[in-house]
Amino acid sequence: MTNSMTFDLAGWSKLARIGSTNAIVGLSQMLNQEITISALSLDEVSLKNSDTLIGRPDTQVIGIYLLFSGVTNGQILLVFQPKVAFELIDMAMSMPPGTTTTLGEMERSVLGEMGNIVGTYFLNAVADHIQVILMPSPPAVVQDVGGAVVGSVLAEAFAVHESIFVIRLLFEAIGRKIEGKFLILPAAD
Amino acid sequence: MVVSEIETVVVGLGELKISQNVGMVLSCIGLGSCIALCMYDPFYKLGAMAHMVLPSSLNGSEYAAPAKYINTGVTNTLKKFRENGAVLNRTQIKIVGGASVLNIPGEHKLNIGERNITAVKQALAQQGLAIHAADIGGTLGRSVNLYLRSGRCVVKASGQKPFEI
Repeated sequence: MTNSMTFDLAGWSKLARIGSTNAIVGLSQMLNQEITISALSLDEVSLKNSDTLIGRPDTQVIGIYLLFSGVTNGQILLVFQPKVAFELIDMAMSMPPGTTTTLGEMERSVLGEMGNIVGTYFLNAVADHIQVILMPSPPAVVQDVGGAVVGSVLAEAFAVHESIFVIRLLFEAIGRKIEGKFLILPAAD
Repeated sequence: MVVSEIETVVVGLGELKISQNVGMVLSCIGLGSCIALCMYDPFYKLGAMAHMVLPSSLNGSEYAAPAKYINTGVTNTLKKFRENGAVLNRTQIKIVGGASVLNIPGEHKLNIGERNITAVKQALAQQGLAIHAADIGGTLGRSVNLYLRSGRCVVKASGQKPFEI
């Protein structure tokens, strides 16, 4: 891969592994908790089969969303069930499990910081590997139904192309039922 | 007593569904920035729903889902609607969606929801068609059901009670 960067499936496959591994390191450090990758995949997704990314579209989720720019552009989305996001906040703030029950200003700030760390660790690893600069935007934290959150991200991704590459990462905390979905949608060149 | 069964048909991203089955409900679930175009001819009890994703094609792609883009999605929906015998001057036209769910701070605003609203209004106006009701904009995701027996169009915004438009 060169700086002109032809982003095909094989090229992104290696970058997905490098970036995701580093992102999980960042998350583990922030939470002071060992987090492991339970599944990592890279798929080419078309509009027609994009419902596999959304899951149940009417289920409430909490999403942390960032854009990235540089030699290529793209989007990053972390998606959690609300109770999982609340447990992550409790872990990050060293509070007993069950303390956080709503998404207020402070809770949004904690999740936004989580998005910053995970996104930056991912992008830095990828950028270091291919010797380029990739910059994340500030994060947006949103609670809504899954279809609205993921669908809005997909709308942006499908603006130019009929199919997109999606990196899907599932992770979990040892001994705790923490599972999240980490989608990276690079803009294909 | 005979209880009629209701069949809910989910209209996915970029899809267009049309039916005259009065036992059917056309449904867009979890609309964010997308727009649902709901059309109903009360005489034929013919309903259509298009789940449109983007204002217009940037690269002029001819191959796309029938309702991916609003500029072509509106045209495709009207064409199908006419082909099935509907008369447009008695057709109820309603639009739902176009929210800005993901608000990135600073200058990174995507505005797809707002651009979708503008595009669908323009596309319908170009065809000389009025919008009879709308629930658009804002920051919340929505779902919408179109009941083909009655033409009722029921919207449910995230975390709120359903209401008819």
